[in-house]
Amino acid sequence: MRVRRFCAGLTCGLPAILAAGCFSSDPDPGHASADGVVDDVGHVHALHPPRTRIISLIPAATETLVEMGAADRLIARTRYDEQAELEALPILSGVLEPSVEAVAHLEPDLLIMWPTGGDGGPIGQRFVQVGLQWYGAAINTLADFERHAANFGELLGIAHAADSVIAAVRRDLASAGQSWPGLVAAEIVYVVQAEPPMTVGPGTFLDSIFLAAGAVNSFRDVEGNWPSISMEQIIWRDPDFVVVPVEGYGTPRMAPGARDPSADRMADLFGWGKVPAVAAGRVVSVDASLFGRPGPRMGEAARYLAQRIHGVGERAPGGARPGPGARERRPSSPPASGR
Amino acid sequence: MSSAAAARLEGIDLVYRYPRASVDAVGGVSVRAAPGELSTILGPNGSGKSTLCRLLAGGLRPASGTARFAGRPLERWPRRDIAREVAVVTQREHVPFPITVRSLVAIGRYPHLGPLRREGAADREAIAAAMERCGVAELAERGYQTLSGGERQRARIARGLAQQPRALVLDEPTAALDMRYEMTIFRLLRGLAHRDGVAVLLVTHNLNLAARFGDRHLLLEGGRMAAEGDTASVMTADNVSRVYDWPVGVATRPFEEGEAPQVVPE
Amino acid sequence: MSTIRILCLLLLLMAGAALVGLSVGSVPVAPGELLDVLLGGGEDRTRLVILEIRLPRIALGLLAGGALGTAGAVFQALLRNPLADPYILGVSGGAAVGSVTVTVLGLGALWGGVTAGALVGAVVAIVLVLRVALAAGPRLDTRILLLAGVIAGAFFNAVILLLLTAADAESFQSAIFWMMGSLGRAGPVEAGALALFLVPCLAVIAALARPFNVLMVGEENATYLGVPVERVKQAGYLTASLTVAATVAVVGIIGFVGLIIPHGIRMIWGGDHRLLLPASFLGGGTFLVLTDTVARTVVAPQELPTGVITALIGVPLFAVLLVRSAR
Repeated sequence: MRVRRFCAGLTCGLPAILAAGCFSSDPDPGHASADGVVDDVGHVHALHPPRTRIISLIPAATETLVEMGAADRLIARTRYDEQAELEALPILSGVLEPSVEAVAHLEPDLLIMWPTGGDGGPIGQRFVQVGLQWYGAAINTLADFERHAANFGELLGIAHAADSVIAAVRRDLASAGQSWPGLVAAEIVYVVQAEPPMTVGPGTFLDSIFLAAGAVNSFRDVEGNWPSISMEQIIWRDPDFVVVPVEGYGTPRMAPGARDPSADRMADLFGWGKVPAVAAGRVVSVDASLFGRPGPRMGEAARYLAQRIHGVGERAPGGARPGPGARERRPSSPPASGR
Repeated sequence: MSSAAAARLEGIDLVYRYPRASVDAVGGVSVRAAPGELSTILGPNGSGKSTLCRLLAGGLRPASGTARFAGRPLERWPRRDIAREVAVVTQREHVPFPITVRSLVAIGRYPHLGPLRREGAADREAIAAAMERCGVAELAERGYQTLSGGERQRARIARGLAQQPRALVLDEPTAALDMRYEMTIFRLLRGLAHRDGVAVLLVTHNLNLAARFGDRHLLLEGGRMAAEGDTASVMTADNVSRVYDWPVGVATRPFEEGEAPQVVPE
Repeated sequence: MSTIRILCLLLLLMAGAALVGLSVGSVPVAPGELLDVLLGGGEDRTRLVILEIRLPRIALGLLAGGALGTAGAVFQALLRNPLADPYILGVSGGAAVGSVTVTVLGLGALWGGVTAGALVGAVVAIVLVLRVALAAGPRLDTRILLLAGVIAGAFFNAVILLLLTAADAESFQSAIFWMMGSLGRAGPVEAGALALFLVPCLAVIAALARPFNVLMVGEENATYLGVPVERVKQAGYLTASLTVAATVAVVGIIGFVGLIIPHGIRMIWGGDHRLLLPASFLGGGTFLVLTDTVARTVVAPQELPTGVITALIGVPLFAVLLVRSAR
């Protein structure tokens, strides 16, 4: 599908999901050497001179760069980069591929792009042809994030800033993990897409967020980063919570007793309404951009999720039970699958 | 003969001009096909034969004049009623999907059955008889698309017969057929007219077979009648060479059907 | 075999497919358990899976597959073109424009929003294409109709791409998946509504079976055989289009069924529409339920899009039939 390719490299948010399966992460793990760093498509990037004209087509990478204090070195943005510091920048792409001409005209000295299809596809080749040795970053895991953040630090000549961003993310995740001591991890289904049902597989950065938040992915046994799953399996596995990323939701604190805005929507969807967690209102809306980007805010995501499902710090939302421990757990053997 | 006269297919002073054309394709032509007779329409390419055929079949409506069957103008016949009386075999047809000969012939029962009635014994009999008559009975389960040209034409004529019509209009049924097939079809049509009393109206390019098998002829030239009447009066060297713009000789030859003039181009 | 026998055989096959679909899934259910559930017993969770998830999905598969198979046969007959399928006249494109518009405007969450949008879009497409085709003359020229449909389809595709550029990531994704089609998105209410809608459409189509037979020999010949050709074409076009519109509105664009099922039936049992139309319904429903069963079990607990399996199984099956019938 053509459109599928368009969006893949642009955001690390939901559209990136469509690209999933087209690549395996780490085709050639990037690493720093004395004279340069190697990215995920095997391009070698010299360490000097420090980059000052940067275009990132991956919102997660953009967030990381801004967090590193390099917002003033960015010369363009995508539609999904909504930070106030970037507001004045020209928008190069949304769902569609950016124009090669428009990008080349800006003369970036660092172009960061998702390596769709493993090599960036036709547009990646076009960039190379016009002399743009772009930086391919397939950021799927926490380790990918740390590795690329470190690389960006090297390329921008601000390695110390990168190090402190990486350290801050580790610290945030650890502190989220300490916010729910003594409680049993809750089983969740993360609804990447409601129809057809699509969730997140094991091994992505989301796992790291879940782990820190005291949650366990109900579908940790399936393959692929963004698998389509069957409705009957969701009902069968009977998760404690259904977590729904919502575009533009932000991370509001749920008022005690308030009903999650996604609860009714999910209950009205065919199939989902029959999932016991949904029927009981155990639906957790999360900000899609917060949970969709392996960037500096992963710790914030984990803290929010922990607060919503374990009720730590505040009362549990919607008057839901304090934790899954209160509920009779089924044997924790992996859910049945196949025939 | 009143019933026979009633089953006559005729056109009176027919005029037709195609949209955006500058001349009439058919300009004031009268023609008739009487029961028990094989009538032919002759003429060079573009002389209006097929248009006349369509006017008589009710596929085109004349600008002036009337085409009528059994004394009633065609436009006043309900479509299915006229289809029970007049069957038409057009020049060619393309059948886009595989179909057996029997199914193709069975389509001829539509005017009798309409969209909903089930095929009965009478229908099956008519279908079988029509296939028998046209010599395609043994091809019944063959695919129409696998037949030779001659077999196809006979299957299509069988479909016309399955309509059990009182008049049969055929537009060049033997074009592109070899001699043997052409002979079988002419024999068949003559038999239908003489033995079964059907009013057969045939458009053809084969002057000699028309002369040999036909009873009445209409010779067209540029959409107008050049000659009309029985074989002897139409098939003269004078008429034919004038209409076809080529010198011909005409000699009479004996056949088992009787004597007939035969045209030989000079 | 007589028509009745063939249809009974196909009905049995369809019942078998439904039973297979009910008993097989990513959640293992023993035959005894299935029987329990169908008789009103069984464990709650199993009841949910069988009655609330599988049953509506199978009902929808039968209806949608049947509707697409029948509509495909009708379009092939009307356009006298073996390449015709239910989507050839732009109905699916119109439906997609409708659904994508609703999705992009963020109205998809309203009850039936996307379905209603798709239905409206499809109906607009039907009217538009018919108007264009009739503008060329008082008679419905199927060649012009075909061209108008294909052109409209291309136009709708462009509109969809344009709409998608304005979409946010989430709407973009759900629009794409809507277009891929799925039997899992609708429940018993939608299936029931679709069934009610299909009954009159299919009744009209059934009554046109014999005129369609006659149309096989061409419109001029059909006229001489007493068929009211214009009325048959317009009625056939409208009912088949509405059938497709309703189906697409509920399950999205599931390809291939409407193309290969009528051809397959023709190759095995011939092209008499009195058999072809009901057989395409039964065959289409059976085929879609079976392929969907494969799609939702072969990589369980994951699922493949139904369309992937319809093509993966359908193409080789079709090729075998093609080779066999060409002999």
